[in-house]
Amino acid sequence: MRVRAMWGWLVLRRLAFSSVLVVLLAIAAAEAVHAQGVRDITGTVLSFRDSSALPGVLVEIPTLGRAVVTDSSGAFDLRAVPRIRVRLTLNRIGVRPDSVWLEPDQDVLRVFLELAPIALPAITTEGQLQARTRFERQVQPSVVSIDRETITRLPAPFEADVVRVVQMLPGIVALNDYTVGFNVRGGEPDQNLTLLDGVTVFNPSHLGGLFSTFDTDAVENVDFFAGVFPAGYGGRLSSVLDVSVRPGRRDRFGVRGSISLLSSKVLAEGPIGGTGATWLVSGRRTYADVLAGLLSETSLPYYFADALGKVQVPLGERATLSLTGYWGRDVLDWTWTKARPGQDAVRLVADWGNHLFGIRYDQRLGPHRLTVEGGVTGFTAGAGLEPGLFAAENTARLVSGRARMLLAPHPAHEVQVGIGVEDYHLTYGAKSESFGTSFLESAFQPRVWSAFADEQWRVVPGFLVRPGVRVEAVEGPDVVNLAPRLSAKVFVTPALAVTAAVGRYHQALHSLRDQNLPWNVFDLWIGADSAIAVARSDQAVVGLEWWFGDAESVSIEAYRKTFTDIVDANLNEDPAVAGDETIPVSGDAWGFDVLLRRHWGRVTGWIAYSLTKAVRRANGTEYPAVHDRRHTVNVVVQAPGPLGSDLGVRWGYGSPLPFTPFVGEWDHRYYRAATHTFDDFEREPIASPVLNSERYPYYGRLDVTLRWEKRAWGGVLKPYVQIANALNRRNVFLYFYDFDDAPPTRSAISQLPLLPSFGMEFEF
Amino acid sequence: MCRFALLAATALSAACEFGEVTVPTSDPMVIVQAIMRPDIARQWLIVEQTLTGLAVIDRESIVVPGTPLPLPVSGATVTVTNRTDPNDPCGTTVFTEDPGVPDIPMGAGVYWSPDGCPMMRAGDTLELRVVTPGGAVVTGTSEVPGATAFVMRVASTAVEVPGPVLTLNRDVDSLKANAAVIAGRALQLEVRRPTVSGSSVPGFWFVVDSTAMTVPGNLPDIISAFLQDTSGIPDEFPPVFAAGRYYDVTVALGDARYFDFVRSGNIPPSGRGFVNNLQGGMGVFGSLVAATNEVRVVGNLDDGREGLYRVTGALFGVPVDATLELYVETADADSTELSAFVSGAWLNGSIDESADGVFRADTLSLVIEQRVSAAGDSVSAYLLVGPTSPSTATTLTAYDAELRVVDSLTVERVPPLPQP
Repeated sequence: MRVRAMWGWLVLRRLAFSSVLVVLLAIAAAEAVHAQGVRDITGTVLSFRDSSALPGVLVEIPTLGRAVVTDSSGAFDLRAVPRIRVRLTLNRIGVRPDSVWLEPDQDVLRVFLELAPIALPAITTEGQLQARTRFERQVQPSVVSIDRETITRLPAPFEADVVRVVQMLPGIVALNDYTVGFNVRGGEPDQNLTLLDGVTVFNPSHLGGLFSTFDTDAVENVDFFAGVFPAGYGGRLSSVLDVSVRPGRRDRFGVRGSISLLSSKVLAEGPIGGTGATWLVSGRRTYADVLAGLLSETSLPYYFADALGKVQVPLGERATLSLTGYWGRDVLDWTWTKARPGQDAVRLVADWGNHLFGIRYDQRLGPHRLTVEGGVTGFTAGAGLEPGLFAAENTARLVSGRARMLLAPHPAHEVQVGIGVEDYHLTYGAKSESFGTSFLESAFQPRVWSAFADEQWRVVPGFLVRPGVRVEAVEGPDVVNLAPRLSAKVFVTPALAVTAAVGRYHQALHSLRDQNLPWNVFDLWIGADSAIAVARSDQAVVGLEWWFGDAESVSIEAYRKTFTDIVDANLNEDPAVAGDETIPVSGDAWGFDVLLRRHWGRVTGWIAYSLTKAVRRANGTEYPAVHDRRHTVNVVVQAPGPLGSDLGVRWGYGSPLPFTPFVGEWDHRYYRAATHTFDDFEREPIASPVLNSERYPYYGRLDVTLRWEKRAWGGVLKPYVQIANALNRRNVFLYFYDFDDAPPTRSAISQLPLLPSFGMEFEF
Repeated sequence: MCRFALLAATALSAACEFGEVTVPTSDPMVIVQAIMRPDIARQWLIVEQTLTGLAVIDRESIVVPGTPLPLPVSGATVTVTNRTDPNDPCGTTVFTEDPGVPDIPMGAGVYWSPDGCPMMRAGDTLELRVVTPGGAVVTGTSEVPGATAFVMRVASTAVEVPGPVLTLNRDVDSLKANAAVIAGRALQLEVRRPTVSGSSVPGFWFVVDSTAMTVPGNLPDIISAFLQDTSGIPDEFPPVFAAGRYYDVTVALGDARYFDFVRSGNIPPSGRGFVNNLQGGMGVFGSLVAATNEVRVVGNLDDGREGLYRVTGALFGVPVDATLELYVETADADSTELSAFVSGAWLNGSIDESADGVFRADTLSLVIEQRVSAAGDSVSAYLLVGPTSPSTATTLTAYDAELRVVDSLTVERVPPLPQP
């Protein structure tokens, strides 16, 4: 067992923190001399209907010519406003315009807006406005925001799913219909950071990837960074999937949920007395196991369940405390054989899942905003034969704390500084209590101390620069990594901008995934230590974004990425040797992504195209990465459908992915010492030593969904029908070879067949 | 809707197989599988080639040496050299397909050493070199394992192997084995059931990355069940140890090469995973030492029909007086499998064997086999069928192998042995 510790790290840690403290003190001094004749107005804009936050609302003081747009939590700041009575107008497509008067001594307000009575059948306008706002105000390239409505309306095999929507964005490759995770711009699945209200989710999937862990009813918004993410994010090389859980309703108790073929879920929410605090709880469970038991004597000993909760408490007018919790389990429990005299029943058991708890404190300090977060998150997986015959386990636990300060020392500057610590405890092993033996056992305890500074500077109108730097001191491998980041944006016209960004990224975690396995139930996590290095990626992106109308935009981004010290599972690992679990791998990726998107209107959706080339180098050879898909196209359309329905269509195309063919078989014999003979054998395939030298046929899939909305029993019912792989294309999952034949033969196993499903969502 | 859900789940889990095509034949690779045994005089190894679609392969070959290899490599030059001792009197040992010795199972691709060669002492490094007629060269090394003693322990009784018979109560005891290692990596334990004819039936086996292992007496034999089940998912796991039976338990110590060979394998989805320590080919060149001990397995007397019985009478006029120490194995509604130690006087003289049978309610059916010494390796087998009673003597009918009635015997319960 390897457990690393390093006392000398205190020195490095303090250096990193000292630099941040210096910045904080300087800003505090500047704050002290802030003028007294003006004020900073902060507020929140919420939906009158269910008290959910309304992002993208234009908050304007017409008489002063000042305007801001609410963020994803519905919050806004208007800085340096004269202490006079002013009228604020609030406007956004999809809500009824409104205005409020603000007295000279009133600096904080909360506004409830009614939704506009017009039907917007496709992607809601808030996404449009958010995208446009980001285009105009932010340098950040390679980011897409997806709201709940979009996620809900797009087709998925059984129910709406955040991860399935992300897989339709440019730059994303999903190896197959069953895969857990996805590859972003040539990166590996373990290089994607998934956050739920700021807390890491290690393996965000159920049922081997067919379901994600996120209940879309509880999702507020999803920000997906496909690369060159800002300095505030760290710990992964390739992408960030930042999922926000919405607070519960402020106006009344509410219930919503859905019933589908495989699972049902329900969400309840409401206010806590008259405190302004809210709560939200959701739960989900599959019931194929129950149905199988009712309808036949066949048992289906598998189910998954999860639960999500959030409590948000306002602390005065300027502070908010929120608590988020998640628990999910996949459970397999099969009684294989019955008990017999002298022998217990044998059960095949497996269970795995995530759990997390996060706390976030938001405090507005004049024009500044302090956020302090803490979280405990874990993933545990166990499988074995009971009682005590065999047990394998993997545990990943992370205790983290972060503080960040959003500073606005000047209208042209937005500065963020922050510090954080991530304490990992990762173990995996296999043992048999019956035999009194351990087959393998490893533990990793990297601890990452981080500090960052990130500034967006509007140098002149039409030119923005965003420098940033992140410092990470990693205990275990005992290194300090500096990750500078820089991006710039030039507006050629108000609707056309060119963006460039470069950055360095580090990752102290790795997954023990065999890249040649087409299917993983979950990732086995290990950490960097003295033998396993911290992975590094250098990235550069150049792109342009053009809005050619209120609702249409196109973005084109070219990128180049390098990967250093990423790892692959070492198949020759010796359980008695510590540190040989992985082999170092390096690689490169380049390509470009195109996203043509219509954000709102009767017909909405997007066309995403990606060109990717990804290579890997290991053991002195270079080979195509297993996700080296040259061309990927996803067409997503939402439009009015037949019979008064909303129609959602997704068509995906992927050019052939590489695989390693088999070149033969051998009889791997079983030796018997008692008779000094080989008594039996296992016929095992032999893969070509040349990795990924052939390619599967292209991938294609058409998914269709139809949704209706009916008012009944004082609520809303939303029946839906979905057809996954509507053309029943046989996409190859993997090949099987038969070398007993002469000549040898190969046959294919298909991915998802045509799969109809239906269900009902409800809301009361 | 519910039935539809099941259909959908079935469709999801049963993605279809399609598109069979022929693929080009690859160049075959040389496979060598060699386990050197310093505790056995004559060594052998096999040289074959990978299956690449050159010929239709019969999957029936099982025991090697003895049955033909699917694709043997004949005519190879095979040598093993002791690299540790330059004064090895064997020098470089040459293995041949025809060593000119009678009564050994020869076959194409099976190469034999001379008696006593190569020299192998614990810790010695052996070097293999195979040159095929096609010019392929395969090399590998192995470090000879050795132990000052193999020890088996049941409860407080420990024996150095080979040693006295150990008695194991399957319900309460575990069998512990360990090796006092001079050189070696992994312990292998095999359990075989000896037959009356002198051979043995393979059963449980296991390898640990350690020099000690514990086998609980009530352990189900999952490994053998998987190996013997052709469907891939066996319905039940037989016990490693059944009460009322004798077992030969072999404990072996293998080197690191052998351990790699046993612990790894190419898995079907990826075709990778086997830890190959040969150069120029694949397979194993490892070495192993082993010792065997007999274990007598008993159990608690939990079933009213378990216990001691005395069978008396005459078979073909020969007086028999045998004791049955009887234990049940399974408890099905219709029948209960059982095993019993049979000792005493039987048709062909003294007997001390294990017999199998079944209870149908209180009606016993038991097959007693006995080696017929006067007729070489032949075995006599008689089926005894009849009611049993806890309090009175009853009559068992004896049938021969053709199920002809040959005689009647008396069976009666005798007081149980005192529990340890």
